[in-house]
Amino acid sequence: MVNLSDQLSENIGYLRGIFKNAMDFILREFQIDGVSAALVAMEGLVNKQHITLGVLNPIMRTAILQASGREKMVYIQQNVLGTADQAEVHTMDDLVLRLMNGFSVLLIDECNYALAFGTQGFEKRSVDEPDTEVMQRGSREGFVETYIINISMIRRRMKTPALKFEPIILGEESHTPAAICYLDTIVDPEILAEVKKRLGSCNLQDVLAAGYLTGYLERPSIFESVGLTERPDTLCGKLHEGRIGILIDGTPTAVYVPYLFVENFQTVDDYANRPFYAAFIRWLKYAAFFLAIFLPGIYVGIATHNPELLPETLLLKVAEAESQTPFPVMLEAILLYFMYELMREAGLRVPKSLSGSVSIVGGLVIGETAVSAGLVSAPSLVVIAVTVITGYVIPKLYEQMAVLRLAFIVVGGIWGVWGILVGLTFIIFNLCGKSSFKVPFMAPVAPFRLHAMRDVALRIGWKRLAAKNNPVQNMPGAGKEEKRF
Amino acid sequence: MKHPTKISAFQFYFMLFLSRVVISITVNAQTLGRGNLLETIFSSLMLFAVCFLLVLPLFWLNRRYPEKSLPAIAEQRMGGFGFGISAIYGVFFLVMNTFSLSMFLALLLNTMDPAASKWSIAIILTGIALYGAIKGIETISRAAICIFVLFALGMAAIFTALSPNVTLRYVEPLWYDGAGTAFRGFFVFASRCTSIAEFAVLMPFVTGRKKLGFAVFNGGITLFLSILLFFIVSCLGEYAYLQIFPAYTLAAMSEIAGIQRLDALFIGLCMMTLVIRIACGLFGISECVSRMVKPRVRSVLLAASAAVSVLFSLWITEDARRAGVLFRMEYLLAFTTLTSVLLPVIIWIAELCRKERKAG
Repeated sequence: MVNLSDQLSENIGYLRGIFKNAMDFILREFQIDGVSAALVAMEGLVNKQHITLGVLNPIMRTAILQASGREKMVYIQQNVLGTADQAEVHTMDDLVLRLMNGFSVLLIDECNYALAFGTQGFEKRSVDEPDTEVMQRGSREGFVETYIINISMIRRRMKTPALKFEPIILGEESHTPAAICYLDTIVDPEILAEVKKRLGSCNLQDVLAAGYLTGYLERPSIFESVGLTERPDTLCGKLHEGRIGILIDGTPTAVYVPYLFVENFQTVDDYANRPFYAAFIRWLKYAAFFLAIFLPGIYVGIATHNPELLPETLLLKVAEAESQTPFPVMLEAILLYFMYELMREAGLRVPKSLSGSVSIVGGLVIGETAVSAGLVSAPSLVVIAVTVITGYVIPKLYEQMAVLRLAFIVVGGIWGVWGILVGLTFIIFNLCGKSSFKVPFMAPVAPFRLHAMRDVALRIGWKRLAAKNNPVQNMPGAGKEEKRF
Repeated sequence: MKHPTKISAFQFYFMLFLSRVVISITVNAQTLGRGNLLETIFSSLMLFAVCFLLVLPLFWLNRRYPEKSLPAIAEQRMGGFGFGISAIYGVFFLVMNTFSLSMFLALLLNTMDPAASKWSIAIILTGIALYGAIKGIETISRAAICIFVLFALGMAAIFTALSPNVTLRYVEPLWYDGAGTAFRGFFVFASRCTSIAEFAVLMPFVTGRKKLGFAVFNGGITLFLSILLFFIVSCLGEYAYLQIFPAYTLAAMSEIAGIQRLDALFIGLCMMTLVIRIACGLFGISECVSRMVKPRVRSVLLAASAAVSVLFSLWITEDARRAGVLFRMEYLLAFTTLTSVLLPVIIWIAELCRKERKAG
């Protein structure tokens, strides 16, 4: 760690050295009543008007008659500047970090510390509704890339001193500022300490997205045990249940832990809608999850190995359709599914002006031509289409569903229905063996707690739901170490 | 040794239920003595009563040593002989795993799909069970809850679909040929019952209302078996006595909502419960060897036990006569009696004597 020198020329020389070839480094040298001074900042991160009016003008227009540079600095600090965010800087590392965060820093000759002013003024996206978590009733605000604004959005919704934001720096090279937020009246201190420990072990060079951190907060598995949200209201709800949020500068996605499997099926809308409708939608999502993963596999398995399971009329229709196509059912399903995933990926990546063309080509080729040419059968197409639609009902699980769906098509094609059930058993073991910060991932289903079903199997009314807060660390089976060897 | 993981009695008995139910549904007239199948309901009731008696010494020991399994108590009190007891329990679980797996393979190959690859089936099922056993008892018990729900729904669907087929005239008068069938049925059920041995080995992992849980579990399994036997007799009639696996035949003739037969569902459910049974057995083995070997060696031993089960069950299913010789009811009954009756009672009496000596 390099301390600041009391020689301005040395400090400037050091800064020029480390910012060599950095065209956004601003260095403005001037005199304060005969003593050399300099103001440093980074172009694009600061508001120049703010610097001129709030920092430079007051300093240059005031008679600062103290003899030494250090005395001048103390006088400026106490009497001249009116900036709210002002801090003493004693080391070069701290100075550089503040420059990178939009501070401007005043250095004076004969003074071995600097003064940093909060003069941030960079371009940022305005607050708008997140596309990935659309809500019918309630707030239209979503997180933005500036984490300070995200903090303010949470604070606006939870006006309590129990809400804490602890600063951390992530990324050895990027020095990305982030904040750990929680309600200190509800949070489990052990979970909080574990989160800090795991974040402390993060050896990433750069943290450019929230997804970079998830690997440090969970064990590898098919299903994710770290929650991601772009909605401040969602995060507030989670904090109220004892969870810990992490807001990272530069990404509109907040991370929160512990995260349970049932949360994939819960949205803020559930709590804004009427309870009976919310419960109905929730069951629809559970059904959609099973359909999205298993339907094509079951179809392939039944058509290939267990046709006796189909009603006679349906069996005849499927058999007739399949007899017209050249490929076996499994290959047909895989081809159709690949085609769909290709179109989806292309639709996401091509410029918006071309996405319409992709849809038309895809729709025509798959929907009409492939069937009429006899390459694929209509029942297979219907099954894949239904599967794809159901997959969108639970967007949080799309990645897992996409991969598992393909796996189950293969399993169903090779082993039939029993193979699907074997796969299901493996998934159950995988889900049940997983914990998120010592909270069972499948809680409160396994281990089971009847009382908790009021927000899993049902969504009871707010009067009863609000009567007792059930923090995540109180879930059945939470806080136990799994016996592993 | 303090166990870090405790599962609730609720979780434990779900696990035990599935572990026991899978082998109970493979009953047939051939093993039960070709008598009136309905009389075997009394066999299950007799086992129900006997289980209550057998579990008493275990509850006594558990109250005295809540953190120790029966093999651990034996090792502590009897030294070298105690390690022998641990080994007996380990071998018992290995044998029962092999027996269960070979029964399932026989069921699959004889009924549903004779061309199925038994290698892949045995390896995959045991592999999943091994994965669960290595993850720990918490994982197995949590999975047991999910699988129990699927099992209950599936069996409810099968029984509902079958209810129109119940023909009461198939129900023959009881005790026409004496009580021989009921007694033989009792011995068959008892020889396949691993619950007491599992309880003896896994009890330190359980917390909560164990006694009430045991009563519900024991009653539940008896009730389920009774319902199954009633449906077998009343729906299949004489046909039930000709089938190798009448429960499978029952599922094959059920029809619900246009689906013409539910045998694939039945096999799937059997397979899911079998995974729980094998996982329980493997975890039981790991607990038996936990005081003798290091954790890393234990996982290797578990994998080896799983491999032995797979290889033996494949070898046994190659030829039906092998199963007939190796898994004779008498052999299994002797082994089950040793692990579920003799050893617990011996250790219990030894502890009682020790307690009296101390008091004296």
